[in-house]
Amino acid sequence: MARPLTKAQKDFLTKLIRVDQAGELGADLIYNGQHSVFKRTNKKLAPLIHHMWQQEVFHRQTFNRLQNDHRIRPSLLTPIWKACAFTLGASTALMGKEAAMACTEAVETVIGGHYNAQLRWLVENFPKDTDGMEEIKSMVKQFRDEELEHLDIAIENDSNQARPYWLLTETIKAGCRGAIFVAEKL
Amino acid sequence: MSLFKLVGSSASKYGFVRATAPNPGCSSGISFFSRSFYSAQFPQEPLYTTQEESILACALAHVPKLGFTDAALVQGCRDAGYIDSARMVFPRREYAIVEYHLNTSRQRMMEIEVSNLKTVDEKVAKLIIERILMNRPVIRQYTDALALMAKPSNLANSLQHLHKISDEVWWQAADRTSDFDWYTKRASVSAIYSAAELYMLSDSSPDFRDTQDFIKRKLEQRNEAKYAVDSVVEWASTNAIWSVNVVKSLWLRG
Ligand SMILES: [Fe+2]
Ligand SMILES: [Fe+2]
Repeated sequence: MARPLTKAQKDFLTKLIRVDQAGELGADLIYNGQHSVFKRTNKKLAPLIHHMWQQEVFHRQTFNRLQNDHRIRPSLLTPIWKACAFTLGASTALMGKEAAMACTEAVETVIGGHYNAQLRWLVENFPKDTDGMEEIKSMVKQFRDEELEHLDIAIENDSNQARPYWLLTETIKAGCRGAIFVAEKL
Repeated sequence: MSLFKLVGSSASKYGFVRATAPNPGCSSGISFFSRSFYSAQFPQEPLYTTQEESILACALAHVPKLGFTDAALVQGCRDAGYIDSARMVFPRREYAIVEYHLNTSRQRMMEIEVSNLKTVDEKVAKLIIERILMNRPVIRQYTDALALMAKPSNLANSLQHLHKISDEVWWQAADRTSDFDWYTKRASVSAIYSAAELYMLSDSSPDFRDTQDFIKRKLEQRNEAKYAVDSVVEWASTNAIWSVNVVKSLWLRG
């Protein structure tokens, strides 16, 4: 028999849906930005970017559905996430394939780790077979695996050849962590 | 609803004593539940205890004569079969009756039939009108209710109620939004709804036809871009208190 959710559980799920929705919106637009450049400059790379982009679109749609079904407000800063993400994707793509892959590497490292932490929290705080929770657990798990797959693709495609690699990835990682922190609140 | 959790937990402290048999006429007959947060899978904490519910339902019945006053609360206690001081479980006093009216009305919004309407606009109009007509039984006392809602200690809470009304409108109109429009839509309905509440106070037309027309007119204007921007600005400024709380919790939670 299901029991009412505790306040901690509700708060966590609310934040999870809001922040992941904002994150997947960002991911969608980063790949969108990259694709809009590579479809002109690098016809060989475009289909690979397109494949990852479509996975992000599915992630985003899933969180849009959850946000509406559970009546959670989207992040207040949605317009800012949109502008930043598309710009990040397009500008790294304009810097070249390696910079775009370094961007993907940085973003997916943070997002993959973020999903992993959420999954751990869900497993620890919702006993196995809690009604309705298995779906969200397996979804977070699937998305984490796909993000890590994107990370592998980035490394296979010479993300570490980008110049200046360290500055680029660490800056983007810091930006992503900051965005997660803010999106959880606003 | 931290307020009601607080109230519920302190209820036993006052040792409710039933002076007479409870009056079966005093209940909204509504089972309170929230439709947010995984409600399909999880049962919801009730908003009121049985005692609170029966006192407030009885008190609300006295509002048309006594207003949103302590006297109505006293009568509510008596009718529900409790001693007068049982009303101590409502630390916000008369405002508790206002909130009860807001809560019951919002729950009743779920019964508004909109499936026969085609467009979202038509549904939104009907939902706002039907909701505002729920103020009819207490309309002559409603100025007092608005004054209580605007009291600094109640304002943040009242704005949340206003937001819940517009959220309910969009939910029932089956509108699903995932971007910033989520805010503009709610802001404009909140603005129209509160303007219509004020309009209704001085409306003497039969069935409040003028208020209904006012709402329809405002909704048509909503589709003009400038109106949307204005109402967001308005919404942003009236929610200043709410924002301050968000920022505060941002620092507290670290
Ligand atoms: Fe994703
Ligand atoms: Fe990804």
